[in-house]
Amino acid sequence: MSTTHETTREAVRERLDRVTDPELDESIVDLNYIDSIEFEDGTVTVRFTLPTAWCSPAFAWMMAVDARDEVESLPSVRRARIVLQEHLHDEEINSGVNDRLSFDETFPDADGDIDAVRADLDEKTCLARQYDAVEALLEAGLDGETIAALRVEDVESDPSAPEAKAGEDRSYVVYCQHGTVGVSVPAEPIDRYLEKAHMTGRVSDSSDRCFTTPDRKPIDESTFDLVHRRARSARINMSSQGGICDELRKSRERRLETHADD
Amino acid sequence: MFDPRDGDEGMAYLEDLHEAHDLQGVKVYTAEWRGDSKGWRLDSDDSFEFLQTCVDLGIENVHAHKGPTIRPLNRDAFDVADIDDAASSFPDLNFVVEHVGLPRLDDFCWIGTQEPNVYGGIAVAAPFSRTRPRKFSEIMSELLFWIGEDRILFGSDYGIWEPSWLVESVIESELTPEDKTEYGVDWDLEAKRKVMGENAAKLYDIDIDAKRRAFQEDNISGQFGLEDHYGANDPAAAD
Repeated sequence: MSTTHETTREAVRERLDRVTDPELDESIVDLNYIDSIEFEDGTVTVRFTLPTAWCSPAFAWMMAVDARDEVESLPSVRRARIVLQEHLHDEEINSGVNDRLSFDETFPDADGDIDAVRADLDEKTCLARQYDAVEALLEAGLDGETIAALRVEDVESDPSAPEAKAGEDRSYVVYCQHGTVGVSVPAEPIDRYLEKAHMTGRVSDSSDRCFTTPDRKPIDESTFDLVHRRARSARINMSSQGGICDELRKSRERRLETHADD
Repeated sequence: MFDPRDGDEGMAYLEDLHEAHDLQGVKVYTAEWRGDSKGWRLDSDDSFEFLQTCVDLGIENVHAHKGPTIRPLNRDAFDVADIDDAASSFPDLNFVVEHVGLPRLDDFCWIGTQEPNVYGGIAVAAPFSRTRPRKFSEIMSELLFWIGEDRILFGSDYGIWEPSWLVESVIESELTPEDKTEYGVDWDLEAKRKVMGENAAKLYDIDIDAKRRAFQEDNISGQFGLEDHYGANDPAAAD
């Protein structure tokens, strides 16, 4: 394999790492779904397998489409070919995704609106990420009243903060009590939350409050605890489902290994 | 089981079944595809007619299968949101959400806090007690925190395995110290008694002691030497 391909393979993995299992909010690379990445004349073929053949076709579709679009966003890639393997609907999904059809065209018998499903999942993901971000803020010593009042500009990247050195975890300084106290908070959960909050339109302006209720209403001191507990439910739900998927995946791998030994 | 898509015929069937078996509970599969239909909602007009018939006949327990999504391409039929309106419209019925709505545990818990006649069945979640005790601790803590020990029902998934290991594993399960602190809930013997049987017995008017005595003396106990199993006052171990 040539050096160019080595570089591109790393780049492809980096792009695929941005694709998440929409129900679990984890990267499909970290979840070990990717089987292989192959190159041929500017076409990159990505093969992947889900934890079971019965994974929701809608979710499988989303991952396949996202993988295609992420890989094709690399300038050196002319075309991405996505091959979902060993799935109940692999033929339909593969031809649909690679022939650039819509979900409705691919599954005429489905009720359709995959965008609504995706939007629902994004809301849940956002809420689960809110839990992680708020936990980090609580851990750093902020109280509910302060957290409920935080605005995006209070927590987003502070240009005066020193750049994190390589290998060092980035952090933000959050100012509270009228700017008199600065508290250091790990940046990662905040960034992950804000990324999704921007994407879903929960926040759009830097003067917006950072956090809202699941119905996108403002939070105050009296509702903070309840909202945080509901966000915790979303996080637990997501990680529980992740547990089920992971057990399924392990069992499938064991079966495949047994077959390979035959 | 009833399915509002069966219309008058389904209604007659439900009444016949009740006549023959004195039904006290029904199971419903809202996500089932049939013909052009991609499932149905418990809060639809057609469904309300069936629920009203349940009230009239005295069938008090409605078990709604709301579990992991498999084939349906549209997830809506597995949505637990329809439980909300059905439960508040039929306060005399009990709605048992099987599989606690996983992967909609969060939605289920939130509805459960608002509707006192909503229960959670932990089939599918229960096996975590063996394979992932920390995860099981989280799920139980969530359920105990939001809906409480009186509205959680054990489920064995006996259709897919012989469940005695599962009974033992849930009885022996514990919450992690972190979850106990964070949620402030108990998963003690009293809570386990309720979840493993007493809550269901209440829904189905079963006198546990009377049943125990009856089982102790029946042929099967004689044949398999189970007299002691049903004799003790402590919860019977699964063996």
